[in-house]
Amino acid sequence: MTHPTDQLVDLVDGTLTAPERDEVLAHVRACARCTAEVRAATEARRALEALATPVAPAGIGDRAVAEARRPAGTAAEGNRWTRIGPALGVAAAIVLGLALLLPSLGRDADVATEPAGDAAVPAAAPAASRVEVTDADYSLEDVRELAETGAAAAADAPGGEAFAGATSRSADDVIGCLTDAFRELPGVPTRLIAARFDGEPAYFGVVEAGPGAGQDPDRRYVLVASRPDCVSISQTRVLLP
Amino acid sequence: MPVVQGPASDDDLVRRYLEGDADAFAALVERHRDRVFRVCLRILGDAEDAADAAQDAFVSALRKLGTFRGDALFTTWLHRVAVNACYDVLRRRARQPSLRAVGPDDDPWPEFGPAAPDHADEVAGGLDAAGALARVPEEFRVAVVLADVEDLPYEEIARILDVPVGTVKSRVHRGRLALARAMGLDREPARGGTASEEEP
Repeated sequence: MTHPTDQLVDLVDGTLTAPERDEVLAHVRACARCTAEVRAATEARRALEALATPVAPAGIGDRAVAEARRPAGTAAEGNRWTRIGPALGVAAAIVLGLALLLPSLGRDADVATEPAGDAAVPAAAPAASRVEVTDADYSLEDVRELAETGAAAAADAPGGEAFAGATSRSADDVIGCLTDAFRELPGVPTRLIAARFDGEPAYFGVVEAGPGAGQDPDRRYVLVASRPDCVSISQTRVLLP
Repeated sequence: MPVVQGPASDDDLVRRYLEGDADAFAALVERHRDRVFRVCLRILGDAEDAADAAQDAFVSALRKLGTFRGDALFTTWLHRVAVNACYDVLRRRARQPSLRAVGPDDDPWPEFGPAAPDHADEVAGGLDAAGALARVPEEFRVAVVLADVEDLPYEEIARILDVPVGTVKSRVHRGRLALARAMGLDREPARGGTASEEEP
């Protein structure tokens, strides 16, 4: 007989009926390993149940409550990014200004969007309203470069074709994904890229942040989240001159 | 405006919030704050990280509340959100080397950055249950915390973790054994038996 883990758990939990228990015990008695396991698991369970119940420190949940009380559409300084489309519009105007500050990538003609070109688009279109899809495989070095210059020279993976799955993602999806991975974006996403990071499919968000009040951004972040499961992989920050 | 008359159910509060009553959400937070913090503390083993994760969990819960379906218990759903927030912290810890690429200098954005520097187990040997949990592999630790700290039924844990009940039980068992080992509880007087060994 193999070791009946399921029943051992039930035995430790005390959830077996009497006949079931007898059957499991018959095995346990004949099996030194199961005996040891049942004893250890019982002790562990007891120790966990005896743990003191901590009280949450003051302030837990306050951020969420504050957000809940905030009237809809009044995202605080571009910090509130959700999957809700309209939120994108809020920062659009700011971003359009920023887009001009960014050097264009222009590395991959069928992929890179020209920020300056975006600026010519009617004001309704939010910056980073599209996702740049590329087969490029970014290393940590490339990400750093992306952070420093706003552009990067990642080596293109062979093929050069946009890979399946990434193309259909909208900017909202990618922002949502980055938000899931990093809680909140620290500022305004100026570029959204679907590519690879160390071979792993990933979304990259180039995010700029500043003191607000119409002043120039003073920090640029590159946030990298795995795709499609939206787990934070890497974040890099540079201070802008 | 608060419409408080007797304890409302979680589902009622969710519905009220979705209808525009922000106080209803505040009531949910108030009600579940300790629970969420406790789960995070036991999974993460560090009060500061746990506070961060709990904070995140509530923000995440707020934003996803519209996707909450009444067919699951709100507590199940919230546990799931909290566990995910903890996983985020754990992943960030695991990725620490790459996160530090730019240098851990004056980050003007402290609540965003990588979690506080390593908080190695303070005590060597003779760990209590809380300290020993840190030695339990993540996957088993989460299961064992939900089972033995939160006292949730396995079916509910299965829903929270999105795995079959059998997997939950196996993780709980292995988690308990790993914890016993870390606490030194597995070294009972041998009765001719062998110490428990890992087996695939």
